[in-house]
Amino acid sequence: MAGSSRKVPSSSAIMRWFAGSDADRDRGGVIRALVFFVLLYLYLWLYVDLRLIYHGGGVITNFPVFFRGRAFFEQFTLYPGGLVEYAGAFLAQLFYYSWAGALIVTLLAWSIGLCIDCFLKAADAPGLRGLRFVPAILLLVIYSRYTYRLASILALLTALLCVCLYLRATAGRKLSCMVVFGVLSAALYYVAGGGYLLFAAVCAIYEILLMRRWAMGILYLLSGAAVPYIGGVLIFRVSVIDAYSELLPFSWKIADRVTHEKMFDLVYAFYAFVLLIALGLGLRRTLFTNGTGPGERRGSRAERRTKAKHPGLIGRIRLSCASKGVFRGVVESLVLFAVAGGAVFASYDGKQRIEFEVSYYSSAQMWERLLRSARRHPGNHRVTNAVNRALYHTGRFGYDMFSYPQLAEGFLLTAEKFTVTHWDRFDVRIELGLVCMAENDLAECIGMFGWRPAILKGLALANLVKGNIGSARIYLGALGKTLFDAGWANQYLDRLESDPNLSTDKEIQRLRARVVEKDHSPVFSDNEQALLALLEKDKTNRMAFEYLMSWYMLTRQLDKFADNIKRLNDFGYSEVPRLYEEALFVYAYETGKSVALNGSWGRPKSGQRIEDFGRIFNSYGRNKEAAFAELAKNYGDSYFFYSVYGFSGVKN
Amino acid sequence: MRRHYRYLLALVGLLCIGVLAYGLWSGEKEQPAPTGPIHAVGRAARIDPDYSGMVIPPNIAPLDFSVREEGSGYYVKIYSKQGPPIEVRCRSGRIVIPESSWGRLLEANRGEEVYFDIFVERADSAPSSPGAEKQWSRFDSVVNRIAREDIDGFLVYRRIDPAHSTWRNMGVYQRNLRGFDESIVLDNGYFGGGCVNCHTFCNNRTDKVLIGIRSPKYGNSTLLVDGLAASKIDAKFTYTSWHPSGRLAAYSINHVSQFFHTAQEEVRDVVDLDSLLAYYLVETGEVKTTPAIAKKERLETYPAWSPDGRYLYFCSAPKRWTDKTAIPDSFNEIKYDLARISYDLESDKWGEVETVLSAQETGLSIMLPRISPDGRWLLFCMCDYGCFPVYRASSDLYMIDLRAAEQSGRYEYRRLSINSNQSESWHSFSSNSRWIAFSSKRKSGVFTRTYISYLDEEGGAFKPLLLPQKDPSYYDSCLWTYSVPELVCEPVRVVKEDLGRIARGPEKASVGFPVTMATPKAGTSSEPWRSNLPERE
Repeated sequence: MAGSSRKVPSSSAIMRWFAGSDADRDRGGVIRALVFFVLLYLYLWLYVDLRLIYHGGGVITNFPVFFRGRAFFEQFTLYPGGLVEYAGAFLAQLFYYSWAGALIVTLLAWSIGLCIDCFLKAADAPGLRGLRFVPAILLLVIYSRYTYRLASILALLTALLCVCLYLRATAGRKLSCMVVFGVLSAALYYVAGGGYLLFAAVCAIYEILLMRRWAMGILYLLSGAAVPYIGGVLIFRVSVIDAYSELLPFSWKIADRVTHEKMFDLVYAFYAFVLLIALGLGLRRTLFTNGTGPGERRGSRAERRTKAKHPGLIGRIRLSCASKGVFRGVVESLVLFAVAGGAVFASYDGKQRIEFEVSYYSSAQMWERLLRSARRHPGNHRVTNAVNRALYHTGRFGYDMFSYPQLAEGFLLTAEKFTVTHWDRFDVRIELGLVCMAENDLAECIGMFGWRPAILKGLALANLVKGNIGSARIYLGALGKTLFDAGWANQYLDRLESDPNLSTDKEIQRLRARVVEKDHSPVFSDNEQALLALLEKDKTNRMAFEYLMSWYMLTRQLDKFADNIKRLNDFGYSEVPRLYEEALFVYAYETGKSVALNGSWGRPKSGQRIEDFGRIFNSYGRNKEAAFAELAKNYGDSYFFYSVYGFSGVKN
Repeated sequence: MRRHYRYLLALVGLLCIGVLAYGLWSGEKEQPAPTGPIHAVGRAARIDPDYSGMVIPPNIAPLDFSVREEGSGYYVKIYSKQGPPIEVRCRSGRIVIPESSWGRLLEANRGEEVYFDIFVERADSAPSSPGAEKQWSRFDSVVNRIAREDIDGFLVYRRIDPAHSTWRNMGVYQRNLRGFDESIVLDNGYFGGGCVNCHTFCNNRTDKVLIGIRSPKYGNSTLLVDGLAASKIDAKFTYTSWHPSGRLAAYSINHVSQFFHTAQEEVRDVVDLDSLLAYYLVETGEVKTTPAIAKKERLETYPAWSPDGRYLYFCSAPKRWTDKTAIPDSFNEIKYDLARISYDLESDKWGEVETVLSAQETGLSIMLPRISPDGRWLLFCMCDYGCFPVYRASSDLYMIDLRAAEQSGRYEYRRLSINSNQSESWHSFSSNSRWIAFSSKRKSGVFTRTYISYLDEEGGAFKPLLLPQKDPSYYDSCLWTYSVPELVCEPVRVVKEDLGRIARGPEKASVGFPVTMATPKAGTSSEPWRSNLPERE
């Protein structure tokens, strides 16, 4: 293919650079590669939205932290693989911007592809160059599933780069090969830890199966076993396990911290893929050629020219295909895009994506977007918790709560079964005034997610509100060393210099005013006690009031709901929220008691709605199943519907 | 292709030059010593950490600090009676003292005072014309006294996140106190994550060590270091104390239950729903107890041997509940007494329990007794209630003069002057009884730091010294919590890799628990309540 296709004019240097190898210097190949990587970039940037991975959604437990400064860097210099881990941690922070994260992943995919191309060329197999897109497709799947794997993949790339350096820098003399291998081994092991094993394995396969230099190959294999022991165990004093597995997907540091990922095998596939290519090419050479190494073959140009003039059967087929280069190019492109599309389709999990979106928007307080995303989700306790918070902040809690699926047991995520939902709780708890409970959640998050900026920020805020300024300063000090939250931290640190107790900070004062004072452990797990304790402390805590009323509606404690409706007067509502009226109508219907609201009894419209609801229900002979479709269509977002069916969120 | 390599090499070269140039450019430029008229400020400079008015060990690392005074240049002269002064100049106020000169200065001036003269160039005093002199301010000297007695050379502590019940990174580390070198004794990375704690040494030496581990992968156990050999015991010792003979170790077994506060500075709290004391005989690998220290109706914990090995001191509180699954409503009324029981090593016989100090007398809960190696001082914590002083801001250090008590027959206790309004706990003595290391949350309510304080012959404790770090601003953003600081004369010699291998390995010495004991029921496992141990700081 390389020899037969049209060459790109020398002025197209950028395109050549992009295509990356002789094999792709045909215009079709360049365009295909360009289109592929541009699409990959756009998909990662705009659709996958890599900032969702940065945020982590309370799910990604292995996303690294990064702090500016020498002290943080120095700890990565103390063990093999630390430098790649440090680089990975830094690059991962750029996921903060989706476009930057997508660029990094795309460049990673492209670079790995180039390295594979380099190996294919060294193995004299340019016809298999389509394989260089495989890593990009694997990356596509990994990120489509919202998993984080940068450090392991970076280690793989570093190892592949060294393989390429080895292949290019060795002119065939054994001694120079071994010297280059030795130097690269020492450097690579220090830089990429366990990634070195891949380098040693590929070099050994290359020497044994492709170059037929058995002794060198075996030496390389032995060095693959020895270098980690000498470098890791004897010099850097790391454990044997870490010495051999640092940065590899099966390292305990990686495996133990991955809790949610279904695509774990895929990272193994990354490493296995590279080894399989090497092995496959080696075996191909061993089994299907006369045992000449690629170097030797490269030297016999005259022979190849003769072959080209008098091709055999396979050669004739190749020529025939080559003469139809455009057609072949189109077919190859179609196959490539079909495979990539298929991989995306197979790995796509829309529900999971929405959950990440909702968590991100909740953290960024992008309420409208959150509510829009949540519309597309069937509902679970985490999403519902975020939805309720968004509804409160947009003033729609008392109106639209039942437009979304509601789960009483997931309300505020206090039930015992939600022990690992600390990430989803701390924001709402701080806002409500349950600061100690939020602090507990945040502390648990440290164990689960590490020192992520969002956690540091939450802990700083919680301690500022509690007046524990000494601890807050430490959290702010650490946050000030992060890349993107330093401004927020430094602002507070400056403010603390002039106002050590933040007595002029309105937000802190507002939160302090509502912090619960009742020290009573059951408050942790009892929504009603917690919300009542908050209202006891600050009767103007509107958030606590709305959550309390929602809790009563959800759990159908309408007597308590009716008892507390008088608190409406404390908050200056311009009207009684629709759902509250509906709940009072249901209460009046069930008990025969009526509750006056500021001397009046709700809007006539609500009265009309309950009458209509009753009429439709009765028209189906009070058969819930039969009446469901019509009631869901018109009243699926009402409390009437919830009180009859016990669930919500059915009205589109 | 060769051309490409040249480009690549050139790029790498440029990068190296860039990094070097940046390093040179960003490095501290030497600040000249102050000349010309110097304005005397008339007060001491604000420095952080506050290293002033202390008695410091002659073998401690440099007390690097930051000058918190506005200025564009800083000059600090450090001197004592003997030897050349140390001069440190910088533009940032970060005073980093050269280790070797500092070591020589302290060594040559034991028992003398060491002075820090701090000069700050006024920020607005840029010379208006070439040759004009800068304006310098001189602050009152910061004075510390160098003790005659060394502190033990190494400090072993646990370093963890201030998390509540799940930990990501934690380990037992050792620090060479002459400098800043910190190394891992064992961290949870060596056994696939989990918990490592309760490191206990015999007579401030490291030839006999016990370290507790809990691992979801490899189970709960205790690592025993005996000389240069290490082994694993199939039981988790909680609070442990080596008998000075090194032949046995007393330990507590605690049924810990964690809970949280909704409105307190410290959110966490724990209660021991049940506990007892037992002891492990090294030679036979047996675990034993005696009814007097494993009473059904009492909670026994925090064992501590007297240096002569004749008494085991411990804390004990009445247990007023029967339900071992729920936090008792009266959790904040649980107060521990300090008691002791005599023991005869040769006959393995225990005496009667006697109360040393009762909670009724003090009104506080008594915790963590430790006795100085010279046998004179009994140092302990007291807090408002409960069994875990590090979670109680009210926890302070108290002392009893045992020699005086022997003569008078009364245990008089006194509160040490080194306490703060935050928690003080986890104290240990140096082998010469002149130094204590302890944990304190005085600079923040969350992060526990290690402090060192000098004890004079009359038991007077001097202003504590925050464990120095090479970076003076280290503690400003340090997210680690340092607890259980234990002073030892020598480093732990068994390498972490060996300890890790043993922790991971299947070989472990099983210990049978005596069925005669009071608290656990007959037939229970060697470690009652094994599954119900939340992690603690």
